Amino acid sequence: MRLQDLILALLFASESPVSAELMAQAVDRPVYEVEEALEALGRRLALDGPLQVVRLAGGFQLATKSEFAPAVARLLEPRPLKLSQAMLEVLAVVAYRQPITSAEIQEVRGVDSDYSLKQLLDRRLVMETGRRRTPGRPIEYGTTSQFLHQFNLNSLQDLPQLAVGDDGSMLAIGPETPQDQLALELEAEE
Amino acid sequence: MPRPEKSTEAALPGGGSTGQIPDLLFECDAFSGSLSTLFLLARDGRVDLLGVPLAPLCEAYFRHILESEGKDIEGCAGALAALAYLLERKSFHALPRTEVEEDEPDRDTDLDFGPGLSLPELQPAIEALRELRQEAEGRFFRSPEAQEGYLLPLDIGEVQPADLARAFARLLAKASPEPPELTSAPRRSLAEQMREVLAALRSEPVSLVDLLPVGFTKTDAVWWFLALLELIRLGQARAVLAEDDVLFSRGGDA
Repeated sequence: MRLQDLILALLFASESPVSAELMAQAVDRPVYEVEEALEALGRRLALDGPLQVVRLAGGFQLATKSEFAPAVARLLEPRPLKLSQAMLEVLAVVAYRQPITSAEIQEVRGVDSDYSLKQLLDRRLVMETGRRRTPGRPIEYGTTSQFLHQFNLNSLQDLPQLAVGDDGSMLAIGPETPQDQLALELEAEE
Repeated sequence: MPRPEKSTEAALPGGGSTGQIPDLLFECDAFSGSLSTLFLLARDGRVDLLGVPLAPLCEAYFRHILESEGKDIEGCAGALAALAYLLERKSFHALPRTEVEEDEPDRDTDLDFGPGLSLPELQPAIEALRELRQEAEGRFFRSPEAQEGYLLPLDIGEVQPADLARAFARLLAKASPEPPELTSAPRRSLAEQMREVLAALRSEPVSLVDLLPVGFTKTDAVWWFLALLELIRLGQARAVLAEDDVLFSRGGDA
């Protein structure tokens, strides 16, 4: 049985991202062999068919390619994830400043942010990560793997990097995901 | 669980003192510590009182005062003074303010937070996150949510979750008011509750209301219902539909 096919079966059966280590345990093969098979499988699927292997939230998962999104969306009628400007701001503050307390979020934004924070907690985009060792021991918050998944990120390292542009304004750079790299490689090969 | 720890004295703003406060440990999302610590932090504006539920704290101290039967008048007076101050501060903070959060709030955009990123500096990142989210919407997965795992649904014959929910709602409607919580009440465990429920179950099916002891509270109802669900999952209890009610009996594995 081809390792690539075994990996494809594992990815198909999984409802959430699976790490290469877990797949290696399942197929009883070294991790590097699984990683090589994942790369080969990713190339194979990228060239043919409606599916792709995506690297998300610290693992790998099968997903439909974007050109098939309209038809799938008409079938599934997914509820769009609506994030207000306030929620996006709180999410960005938590993502870039974590672990952070509610009071610190409020200080950065200049307004009470508890409502938006609660909405983000309910949507599992933000979670409690512990308590700070300061008087009152306030709760600290950080982002979740759900956040990585819903924002197309493999890890927090993939968050857009902020840099100062030539005109002195702030710019967001990246992220360059493994999928982007693969697309660039395939474009170059063509 | 609040419990007496020590006594502390704190100065009220504008002079005066709370006297010796017998401290009970208090824990919630926004604060963890004693009444005197909470008092000092509130006085210095270092805790958001809106996130601290004061009612349970007041109840715990009122019980403590009643139980002390006047043996520590100064301590009780100190606690009451501190609680009154906290209630007044919280009431003040609860008043409507001009900076109510909206989708596009007015704010001072020059705010900077120490060495970290300020909100204007984060604006490109916010836009980038918005674009990432839009890109992600073009992909579909077998499961739209990155769940840690999932549980296979339990097959309990013709009884549907909605039937169980209705039975539970009927039970809650008949529950008695909760008695005051005892500070020395032992912790309850689901395992013990399951033993109690198993002992009460008979081979002939009975309704939830008949199963629970007379005068049960809402807390009792929740514990009994959770224990029943777990027993059903383990095959030690059985649920059957009878007209519009669900009846429970011992299962084959009990």
